[in-house]
Amino acid sequence: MNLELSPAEQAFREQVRAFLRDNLTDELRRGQRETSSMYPEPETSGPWQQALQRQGWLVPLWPQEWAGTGWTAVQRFIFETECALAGAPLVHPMGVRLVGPVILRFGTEEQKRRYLPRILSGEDYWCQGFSEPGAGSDLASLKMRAVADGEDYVLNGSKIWTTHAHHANMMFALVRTSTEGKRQEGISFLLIDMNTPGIEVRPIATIGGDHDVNEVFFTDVRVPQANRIGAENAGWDCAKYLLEFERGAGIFSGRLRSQLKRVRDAIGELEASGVDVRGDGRLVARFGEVCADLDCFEMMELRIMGALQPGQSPGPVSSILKLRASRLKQAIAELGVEVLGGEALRWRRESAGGSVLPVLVPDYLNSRAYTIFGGAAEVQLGIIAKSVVGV
Amino acid sequence: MLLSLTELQEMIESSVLEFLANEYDFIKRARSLDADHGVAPQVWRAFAEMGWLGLPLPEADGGIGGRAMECGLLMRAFGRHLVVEPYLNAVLCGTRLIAEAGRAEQRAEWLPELVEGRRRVVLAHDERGVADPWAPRNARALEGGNGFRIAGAKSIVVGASGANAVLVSARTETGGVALFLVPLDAPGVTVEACRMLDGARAADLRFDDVQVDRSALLGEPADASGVLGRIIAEAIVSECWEACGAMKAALEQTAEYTQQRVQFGKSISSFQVVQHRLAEMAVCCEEALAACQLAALSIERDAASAVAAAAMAKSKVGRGARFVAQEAVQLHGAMGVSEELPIASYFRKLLAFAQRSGGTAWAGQRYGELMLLSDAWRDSRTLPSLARA
Repeated sequence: MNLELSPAEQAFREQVRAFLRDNLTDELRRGQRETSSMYPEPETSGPWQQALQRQGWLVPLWPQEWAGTGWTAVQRFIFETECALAGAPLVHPMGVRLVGPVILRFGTEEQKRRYLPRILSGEDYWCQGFSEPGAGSDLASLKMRAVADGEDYVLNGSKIWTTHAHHANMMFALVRTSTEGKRQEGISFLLIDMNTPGIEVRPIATIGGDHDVNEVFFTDVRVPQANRIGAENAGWDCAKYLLEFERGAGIFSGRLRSQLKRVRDAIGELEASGVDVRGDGRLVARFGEVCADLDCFEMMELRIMGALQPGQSPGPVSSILKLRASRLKQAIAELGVEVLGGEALRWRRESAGGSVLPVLVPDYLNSRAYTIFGGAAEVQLGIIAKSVVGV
Repeated sequence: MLLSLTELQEMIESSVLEFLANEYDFIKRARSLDADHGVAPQVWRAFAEMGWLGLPLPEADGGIGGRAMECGLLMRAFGRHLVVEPYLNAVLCGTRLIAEAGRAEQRAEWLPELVEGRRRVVLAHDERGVADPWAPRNARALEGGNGFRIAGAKSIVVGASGANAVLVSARTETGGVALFLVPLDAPGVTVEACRMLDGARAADLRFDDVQVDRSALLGEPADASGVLGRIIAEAIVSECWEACGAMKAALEQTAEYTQQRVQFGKSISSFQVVQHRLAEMAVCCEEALAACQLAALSIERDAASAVAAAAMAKSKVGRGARFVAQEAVQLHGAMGVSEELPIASYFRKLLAFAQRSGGTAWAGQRYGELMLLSDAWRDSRTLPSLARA
């Protein structure tokens, strides 16, 4: 084993750094830095997506004929790490990382030609209609009905926790097209134009005071059957494939480290105002433990993700990465609150003036969701017990 | 990047595991537990024959040229089998310090016999009340006559009973730390043997104005703190590998036990609460392995990072070790607190690990201090650091 970069890997890294120097503006960095919710707003992620698209680096995991980069896993790790550490915005993943691969795998040629270019250009902004009231980690219990009527389906029901539905013009959703047989066998994967009559998006205020997620109601919404991906009642395969990307294709360690930078910057700000943070041995120890946790997570992620062949999925071990990444996110956010001490009592100020302090409490509050979405921590533990421990 | 083991690494790992599986199962281990000084002669001889007593030495010194990864893989296998022989303190500390810091005549006198297993030298560094493995020691060496007079006490020196000599760390009048090669039968040396928590043997040593020649000084310059600090750091990383092996074995035995143990009419591994606890243990094991790999590879890349790497690994593996050990006993139920099953021995091994070298909590604080001071953590810890533009 060694961590030395080959000359080609080294050159690639330099190339990524040069790109970041030339394209990552202070404004985009600030947008990401001041984000306390899960994803930055479209005005931050959009321009960055376009810059990546111009460079041909937007969709490393797609096949090369569809703008993929053909990078090795180590190159992808280098790219993601450099972007995150430079403070680049998170690209909104719903199109490029989630529905894109599903369309590539299960879509018809016509569907590919219609949707993929619009994902790449950012013309379509996607949201994910999976969760329902009553169907979270037990996704197969979803109820929203899609009844065939001529060329269309007629949709009735609701989706919940829909991230950025208020920005999105397209939704990919799981709907129930049959109630016969096994629950998983009556689900279809549908692409829905959010401007269709009968769709209503209602915001859900989250604990951190952000507007990130929504409830979406469907009343007699007509969606062409041509918008279905794959066969009718075969949507569960699409969902499983997508969840693999959601859980396993991300490279989180760089993002987590950039979160920790915010905490360190907060220490700097507090000390500049006369608070002796580093004099508190307990905080120093906690900082050290979080750093150690993060370092080990990075090594684990590199070892698992870096060893993958193109197109290969990490398999059940991705549950370990998902579980640890989400807990680390929470640990870092919690450290931020501990660093703030009594200052944590101060709720968001309207004008932060570049200070990172007002972001930390909302970030901590919102971070509690990380062990709930994408399969709750308890679901991941169940997968780990069965597949890694073998009980 | 190479994210898999090299051929040499594969070979070392498989040969150590194969040997221990045949010669060091839980029953045969009793030979070592009962042997004088906790060293079964046939086991130590076999270590020599396999070449492991020279593992960290260059080939020119009769060694294998193993670096941090190779030593780590061997120690992980040792941890898996709860080896009680003092390999770490004798080979990875004693022999290695002589090889790296010794003068030509010291190397010529000692190395061949150490590598062949005919003599043993261990490091005597720890003292009561000094947790920081890198802090200066209280033992003193006063220059006088044709040499030095050493005064002080060393605590729980692993493998000292039965060793031929110890390398004593002591402060000199110039303020540096020097190492002295002192035979255990030298006048003024008191050896009080003790048993350790994990079944290994150690001794408390007292030095009452022990007179040694100038030739007892290891190396030329009187200040050995640089090489000593680095080798202590690497030894801490090695003991983390050892703990990592013990953690994995404890997890496997616990998973097996929960599948056999029937309560309320079914195996307890079918209960979700038990499954989740096993899964948490598995995550700790994976993370501990990552900590050890990162620490070893960091040291191989940059020896100056050894102290930080050791503090990082000790904090991470220490916390995971405590969790895995406690859960293993809990999931074994009452059997977990009996000496009859190996799990009690794993528990004691992991507790011993957590208490060594300053302890787990101390390592976390040390790492926090190092990181806040250097800001090194701002960069990736796996990609080689580059000056940021």
